[in-house]
Amino acid sequence: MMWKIAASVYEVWKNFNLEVKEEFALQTGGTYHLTGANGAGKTSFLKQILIPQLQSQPDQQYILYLEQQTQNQLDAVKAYSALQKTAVEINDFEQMLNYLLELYQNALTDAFRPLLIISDENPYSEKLALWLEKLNRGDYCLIYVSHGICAFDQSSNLRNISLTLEKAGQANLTLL
Amino acid sequence: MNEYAFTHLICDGNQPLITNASLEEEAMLYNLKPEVLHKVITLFKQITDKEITPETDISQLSGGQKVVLMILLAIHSKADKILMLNAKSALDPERSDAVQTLIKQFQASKQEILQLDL
Repeated sequence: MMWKIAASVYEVWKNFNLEVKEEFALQTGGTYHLTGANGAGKTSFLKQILIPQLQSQPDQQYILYLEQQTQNQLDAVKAYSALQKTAVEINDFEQMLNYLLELYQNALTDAFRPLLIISDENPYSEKLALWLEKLNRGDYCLIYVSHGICAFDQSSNLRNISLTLEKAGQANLTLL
Repeated sequence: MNEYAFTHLICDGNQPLITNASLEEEAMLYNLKPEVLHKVITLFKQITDKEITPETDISQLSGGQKVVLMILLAIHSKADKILMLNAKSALDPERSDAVQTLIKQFQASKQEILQLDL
């Protein structure tokens, strides 16, 4: 299964465009490392281009987006779980991941749904790698952002997506 | 972490902003005077190449820029002891080097600046 990102010039915010020069596809089984300097637009690409494009495609994929500022997401998931029928204790990232895994597995009971995991400079890559091992399926697609050494750097089928600032207000995105 | 709770200013890169409002309001919580905030703004521009003002909505900054701002506000505060958590992983090599150089400069005027990536 693959998800296409169309070639276009996207306005990610006022006076800042991001150009995808050539259409590219993300594939299940693939791991993609999104690289770029601070402020180059990595999170904007993920939130404003990639996720909306994935959501607009016909497959009912399950998108797991792990936020850059993990504490905010942990609080949000904790609040969500508190509203559910069965109370779940969520006090740290690992508990949050386990809860999300449970939600994902529940979502699979009706029909198969491809899984896309987007990890945005998440500092818990080792825990995420263990979680994926526990998931025990190789047909997910992982897109991750990391500036330092990361647990996914040695993944098979690893490709880089490079985001470079060309000039003020213009960044280019290329699948290498 | 409890051992630092009453002695250190603790900043966490996983939650770099306190207010999600204007820079001016964020700086108030660090008890920074306007002239000190001006220095923060100048250094922020040098490190990130991004112009900000006291009125800037800092929730619109990128994740790495928020962390740079958090570090600048902390080292310019009057806190003598600072513990920075999860700050390095959010920065690209260029920004990371610039911030480390700056922290070294401030080490002399502080009792302690600890950095820890959990």
